[in-house]
Amino acid sequence: MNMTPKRSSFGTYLNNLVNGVTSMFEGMSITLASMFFRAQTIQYPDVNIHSNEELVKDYKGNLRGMPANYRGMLHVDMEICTACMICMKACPIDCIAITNVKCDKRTFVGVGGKKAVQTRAATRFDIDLGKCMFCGLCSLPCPTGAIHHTTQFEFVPDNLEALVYKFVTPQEAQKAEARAKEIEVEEKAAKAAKAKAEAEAKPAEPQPENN
Amino acid sequence: MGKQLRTELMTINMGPQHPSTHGVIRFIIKTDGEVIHECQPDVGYLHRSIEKISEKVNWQGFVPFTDRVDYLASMNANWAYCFAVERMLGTEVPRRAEFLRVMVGELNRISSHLIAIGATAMDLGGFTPFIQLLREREYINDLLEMACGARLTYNYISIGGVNYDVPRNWTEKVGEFLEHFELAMEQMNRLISYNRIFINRMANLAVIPREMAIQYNLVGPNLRGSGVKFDLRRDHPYSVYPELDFEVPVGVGIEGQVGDCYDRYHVRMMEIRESINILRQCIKMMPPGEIQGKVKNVIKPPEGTIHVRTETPRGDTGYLIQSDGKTSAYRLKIRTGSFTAMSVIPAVAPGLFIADLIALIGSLDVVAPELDR
Repeated sequence: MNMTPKRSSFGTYLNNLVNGVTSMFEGMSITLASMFFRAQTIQYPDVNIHSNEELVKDYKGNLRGMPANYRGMLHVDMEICTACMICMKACPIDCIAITNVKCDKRTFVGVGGKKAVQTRAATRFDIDLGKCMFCGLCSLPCPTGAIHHTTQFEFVPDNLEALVYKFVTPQEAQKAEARAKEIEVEEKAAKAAKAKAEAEAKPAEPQPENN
Repeated sequence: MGKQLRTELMTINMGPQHPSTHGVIRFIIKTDGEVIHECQPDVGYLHRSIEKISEKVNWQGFVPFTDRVDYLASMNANWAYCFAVERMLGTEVPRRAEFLRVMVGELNRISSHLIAIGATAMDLGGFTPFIQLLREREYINDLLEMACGARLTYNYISIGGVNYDVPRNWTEKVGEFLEHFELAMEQMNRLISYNRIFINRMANLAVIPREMAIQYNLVGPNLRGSGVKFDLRRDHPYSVYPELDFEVPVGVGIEGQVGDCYDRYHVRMMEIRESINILRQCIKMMPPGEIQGKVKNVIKPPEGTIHVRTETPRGDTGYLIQSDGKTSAYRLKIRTGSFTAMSVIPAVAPGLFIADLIALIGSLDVVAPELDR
């Protein structure tokens, strides 16, 4: 590697010196000018960055606050969850755990305006946010929009267990299980009644044909 | 009385934890004083078995893992993988989704090159450009965040299209940003590109001639820096690139020889300009319509092997996928530009000063997670 200049004389030396010094001042002028620009740094904990409207109250720069579609902490709206387990299957790192039981049939309209039919209720809906990578693959296929990201991102607890968010309380789970048992009994009774009715109806019908 | 002193080469470890290696890479350097006699890169410190993970998760579930292959250009990494799976499935991607992909891909290319340029300048001792360029990158992050809700690991491009539609005034916002960004780039040129100290530091340094670049399989800006006019977007066009009008900048030895560090730097600077050009065209051509093609919930590509290459900021990213018709890949191999860029270092480094090696690594734009996967 030839590092020496082609023509080494006092003239080139001076020329290099002048070039070096001028480009240094060129850089300095940009640094100096940026002192008078509007500061772009967001002083994060002091200002509210959760939405653009909140941010502009205390901040004069050109950066934006968090958009509404920010992929932060996951939340499940259990009112409209059908416990279909699609999110659980979509999660690539298995951080969602759902178990479900039968429940009373319920029809409602989800977030996207789609009609949904609930036949099963969750007895367990745990999301381990310690594992979650906030990719959004669970919220995309959700038929009702129950599982969704919030703009909340400050949820550091002091122990790992607290990162497992449980969206079904033990009381609710017990209630759902009890109701499931009732439904099972009811269904069995209904089935038995139907079978009985069919059994009674069947021998009665063929007889007129045989005659 | 010339009593001969015994001299020996000294072995120095640069890294794994070194601020200028841009991640966890180790260089085993044999030095003769300040001059490098031999330099052997030691990679593998950031290996996360991403290729093996692809055999465990389903096809859509692997998309967020591709984010982690190259975290500075996640959009392009997503795109490369989704493009490969789409080719296997034979899925038609809607036109609006293609334009959105090009737009976010080019925005991500700009932000990746900003880091490359800023980090090079910072490694050579200029801290101001890095801070200024990171500020510009924040605006791009804001735009991408508006589109997909994340700032680094986007998971925006999905198999068959894109995951979310952009907000209504997004393209106008991109246009506004480009207006501001062109002025900022002019300022950056004044700050570093025309800076005599920076030029003298980079010019004629670590020259990779044209033949050598091809032999060592350099890709992307590193290859074009050596004067080879090869860009997959132009030579093997995919997506809507054939409809777009853009130049492929190559190194011409603007301040020294063809293929020196300054040429590689300069090609990146020119590529940012071309990306701005592409984005302007996309804003005009953006059609309305669907953003997601017809893809089943459970994807099962037919049996077979496919190799798809796309142009990412660090060059030619190839996905070799072997499918056995099940819900996850049988084997997946990722070919990245950083890995081959590493292989050229032992050939170029001898004769350089240790401080020049840092300039070489910076100009090759090596990103450690892409190196190891």
